[in-house]
Amino acid sequence: MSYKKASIIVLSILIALGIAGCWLSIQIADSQSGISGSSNNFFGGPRFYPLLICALVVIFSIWALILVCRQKDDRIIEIHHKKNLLFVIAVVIIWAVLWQKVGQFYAVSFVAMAALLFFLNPEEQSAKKLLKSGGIALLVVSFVYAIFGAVLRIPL
Amino acid sequence: MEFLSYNPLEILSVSNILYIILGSIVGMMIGAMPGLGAPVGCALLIPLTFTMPAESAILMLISLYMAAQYGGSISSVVLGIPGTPAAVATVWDGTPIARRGQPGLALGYTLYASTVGGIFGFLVLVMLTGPLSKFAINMSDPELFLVGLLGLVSTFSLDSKNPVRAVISVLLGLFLGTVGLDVFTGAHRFTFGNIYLGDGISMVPVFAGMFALTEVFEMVSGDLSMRYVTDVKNVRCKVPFKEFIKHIKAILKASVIGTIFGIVPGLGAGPATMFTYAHAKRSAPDPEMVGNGSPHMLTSVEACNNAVVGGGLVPLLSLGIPGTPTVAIVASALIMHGIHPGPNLLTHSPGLVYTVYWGLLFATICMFIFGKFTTSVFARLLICPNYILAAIVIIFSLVGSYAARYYPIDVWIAIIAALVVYVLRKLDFSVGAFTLAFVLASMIEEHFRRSLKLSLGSPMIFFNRPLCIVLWALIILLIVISIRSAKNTKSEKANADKANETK
Repeated sequence: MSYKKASIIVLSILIALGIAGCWLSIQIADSQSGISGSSNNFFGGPRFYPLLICALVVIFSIWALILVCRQKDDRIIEIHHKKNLLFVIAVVIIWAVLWQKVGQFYAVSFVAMAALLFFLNPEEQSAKKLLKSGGIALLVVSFVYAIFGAVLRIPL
Repeated sequence: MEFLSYNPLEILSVSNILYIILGSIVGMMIGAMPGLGAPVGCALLIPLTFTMPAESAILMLISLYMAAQYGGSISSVVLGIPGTPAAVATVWDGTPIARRGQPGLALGYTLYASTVGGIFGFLVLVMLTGPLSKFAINMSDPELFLVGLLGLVSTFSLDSKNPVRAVISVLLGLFLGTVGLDVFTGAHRFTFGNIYLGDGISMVPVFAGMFALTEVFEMVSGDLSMRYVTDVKNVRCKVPFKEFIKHIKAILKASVIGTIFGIVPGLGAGPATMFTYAHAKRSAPDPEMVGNGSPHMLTSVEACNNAVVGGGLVPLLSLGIPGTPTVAIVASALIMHGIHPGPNLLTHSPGLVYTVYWGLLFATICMFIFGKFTTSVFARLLICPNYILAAIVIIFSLVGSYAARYYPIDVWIAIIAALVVYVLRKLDFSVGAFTLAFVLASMIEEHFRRSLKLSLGSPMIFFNRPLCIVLWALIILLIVISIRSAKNTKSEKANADKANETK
């Protein structure tokens, strides 16, 4: 994808998020808003600061967008091995979903890690590769259990 | 200097030595675990201190604190995951050195610099407790806000090639700090009804995602069979003395910054290392190596990181105000033993205060000894090929993100942070600027709003105090320097492009 095109998309998203942020900031409940003679409360209240930040995000994003549009040169953003990247992202998301829906962190982690190791290992597919992936996954998950589960007693 | 008349060997009983060793080992391990860190370690060990004498409790907790600061650097260097928020800057220059097949060298630099920083912190604690605490207490909300602003402005020197995007990165970091319950009114801000977001967004999952998971994304886009270390000799913690001593000036400067940030309550190691990074970048003898494995930068941030420990104890011992969150936990251990830190502590319990002084020195020495022998164990992880390292980093990032608060949402925050930062990094947004702003966000907002409340909304409170004027002068100077530096960089690039065209 072109750097210029990607920048325009991202900056446009930031402008939209900034405007949404400004709107949400105004909606923030202020428990002191009922106190009379308290104009200073707006500046010291919970709304002003995020509103200021979001407004500045919008302003600077527009500025950056103008600079990008005026830019003459461009380049291509290269991402190699996209299949690997998408697979890793998918596994991480599925891992997180299963961890929360199913629980059983160690079992889910073993399966996810074994899948990652098997797929990412550039060696040729073989039973040895499968065993190696399973063995390493078991070792790592056991170490995580030893430290986080047994010693630190963190409920995963 | 009455403490010199106190025999340090009196505190070195067999049990105290064992407590120092225990604190050091636990601290190093906990610091190296992403998601944990010195506050968690101290909190976990406090129940053990109930049956100990107060001096032993303090020695163990200080040892843990000191070792955890170094421990955070181990996972930063070896795995590219900051073990603690203060170790974020270590990733930028420590990881590249490790990736060049020299993790032992990177860890050696961090250990030696940490030791010097720790000793410097000890000296500051001893010599300047009284005078510096009195100065720190004079800094009120307007000054503290401007110190935060100074820190933010210094980020422009972290990324002068695209200043507008650097500003946006800063603003995004500041915005992220507003999520959660408002500290003054309890109002829900950007929580969308989620009870977990009420506690705000924790730094641990954000940094785990930003640094560790994005590093995994980069790894899987490259050669997965590659090993960063092929020669086992390179994992030994070893730095030639001549190489290390070249950076001693930077280390001492960074130690000064670290102790100052430790002394001023509410700042701490996270902002200290970011500020030090920006400062050290300007004096780097190897500017092209900054962010690519510069020993100058690595030793600076590590010395600062450990100097904060001594600095953080200064206001605790003299005023009863903890300088950092971890010191607050140490203070709670003292209170549980019936000792109330404050101005009278030195007169009523000089032995305890001197124990803290000497304990800090012994903790630093213990950290050095254990670090020298155990670091290579951690460094050997890099002998694994990239595809194994990637899987290990993923599991530790996700577990570390969860371990910080036990909130399921933190795992998602790490994943989202990774995806967003991966994209933004490709588009030249400044990760460094974002990181600093996020670390400083709550401190800046708190002091900003409290100042406006005190002044009944008038912004003149930021201008009518002498120290504020000094800070404004520094801010303006920094902006001018950054703009000039950006212009110089731009014109150098234009000249280089012209020269290439004529060739």
